[in-house]
Amino acid sequence: MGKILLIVEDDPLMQRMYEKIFKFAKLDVVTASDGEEGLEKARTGKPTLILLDIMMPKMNGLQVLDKLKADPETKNIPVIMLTNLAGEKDAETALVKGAVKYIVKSQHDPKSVVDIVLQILAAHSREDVPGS
Amino acid sequence: MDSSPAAASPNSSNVTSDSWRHVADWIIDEIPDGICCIRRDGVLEYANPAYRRLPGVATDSSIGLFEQSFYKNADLWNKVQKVFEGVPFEVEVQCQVADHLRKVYHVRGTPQKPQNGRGCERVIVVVEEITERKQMEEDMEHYIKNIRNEQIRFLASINSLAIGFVIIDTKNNILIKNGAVDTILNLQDMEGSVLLMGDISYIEEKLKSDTFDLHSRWQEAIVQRKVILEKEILYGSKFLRIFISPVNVSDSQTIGAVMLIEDITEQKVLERGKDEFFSIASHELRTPLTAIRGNTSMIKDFFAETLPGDVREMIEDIYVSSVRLITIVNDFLDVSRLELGKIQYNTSSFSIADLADEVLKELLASATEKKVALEMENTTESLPHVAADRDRTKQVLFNLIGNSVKFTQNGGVYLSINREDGFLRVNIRDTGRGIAKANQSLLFRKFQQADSSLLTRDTTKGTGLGLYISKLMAEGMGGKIWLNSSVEGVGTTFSFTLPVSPLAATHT
Repeated sequence: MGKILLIVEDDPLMQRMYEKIFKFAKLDVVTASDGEEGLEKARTGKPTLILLDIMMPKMNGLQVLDKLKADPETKNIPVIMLTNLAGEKDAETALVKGAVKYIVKSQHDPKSVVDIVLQILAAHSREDVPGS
Repeated sequence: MDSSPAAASPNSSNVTSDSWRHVADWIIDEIPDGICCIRRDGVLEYANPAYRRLPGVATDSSIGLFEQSFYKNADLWNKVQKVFEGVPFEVEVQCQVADHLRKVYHVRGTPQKPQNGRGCERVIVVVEEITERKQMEEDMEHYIKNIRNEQIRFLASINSLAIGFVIIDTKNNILIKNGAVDTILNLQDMEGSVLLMGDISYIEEKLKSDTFDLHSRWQEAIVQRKVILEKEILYGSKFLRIFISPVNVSDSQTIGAVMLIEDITEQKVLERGKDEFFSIASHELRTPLTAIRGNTSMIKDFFAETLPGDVREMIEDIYVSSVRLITIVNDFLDVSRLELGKIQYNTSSFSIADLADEVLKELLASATEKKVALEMENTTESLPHVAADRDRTKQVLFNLIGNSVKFTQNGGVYLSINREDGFLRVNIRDTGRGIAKANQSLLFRKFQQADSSLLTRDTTKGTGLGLYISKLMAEGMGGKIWLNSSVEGVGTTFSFTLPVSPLAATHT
């Protein structure tokens, strides 16, 4: 189907874990280890969906989200925030800025993250169909 | 005055017939002060009635008795002798007239006009009783001293305060101000004269900001007679807390206001540190735990068949442990943030019945596994929406229903919702083992598990923070939570309330 996920996550433990589960789910994964790299790969790779961590070096996830939503090239790519920050304020900020979902990593088994991603992808492609 | 023998005998009937003399005698007789006249040879030549009434004064004219009685109290006799040399005296004499009666006299000795330049022949002694006046003076002195001491104590106390203390009258004047005010507001550099007392307006000027106007605030305190607390005012680089209270002297009269100014900068810095600590702690603790949970969960999901049974069990245990640890970390973080008042409630209007349904569905698996029924009762009534934070409410429901499922072995857990003036009340009834009376009062406290001491804690049942968190959250959203009833062996009912949404959309 040519669906590519971009995982922007600085912690190698998390990055490897999510990379694996999506590979198990037969999805193509591209990874980036900081905000700048993530933004760059979002622009060049045109991923179908982005999983974006918040606390990251160089550029934090909320800043990346701002840039993604400001760029016509990337603004339609659905973004799921993936974080372990406790504050619900960040969740709200992210949703206001245009993220489709906010996932607290510790609250979900990897498989349920995949389920959420698949649901969003399904909804997104349904929306896309009439336009394309 | 002459010194004729006629005057030698006191109260002599042999007085001159001159009318002025009569008058003078009469005055001297009536005068309340004791007056006497002593001759150089020691004979008491004359004494008026008041003098004779003095305590210890003999009725005869022998001077010796004076020395032994009245005069013995002081060095009076020597003083009298000196008067004959032309040195008058004036002295206060205390006289113990009875066991508990002490009198005070003012005694004045003046020489008769000297003759032939060699001293005088007679001394006039005037004795005035001043006991009462003296007492009054002493009382007054005592009183003033007391006031002064009180004042010193009062000023010393307020000056030793680290909190700024100001008393203002109703007309803008500072009545009392301590040094801390200057320190906190950095007023030391200002002109000393301005600082002393005077007008409050220079402090008002200093504190004025877009959000705070001291003048109107303390006016408000005085006029409306209410206590005002400003929890946090930014002043330069400092954070201040200001408390203003009217000073009422009676039900109808307010004479001014007391203002306390506290520098809470340090406190704020600490608090901020705590905030940061919690969010970092939450992030740093949860990330490795998430990796343990996630990877074990993937092993379970994708490699279970390839593993020997023991290893599978070990993986399962690691997984369960990580989930339990994550729950504990989350509980601790919730408690810290709730206690600090750092949790924001996103109030919205929603159907609590729908939310309860959601929670029941999520818990159904664990209930079914235990063969415990999990049901909603009486949903026929049309219920209004509640105004609360949906996620937090879900957490409360989860805690309560989860607890009930946990402690019920037979029967079931039943939910009911009803209206109760302005609130919706949710009841969670179970047929579980019940809670002993002695433990009921501890239920909503931190770390309490019903029927357990520290050593008998059932650590698989969680941290004992669930009810405490639920209570803080329910109260934080304007509701209440309580143990409705619990009978050992029969079951337990918990209830909580949440305010009905002002939008009052009914749930159908």
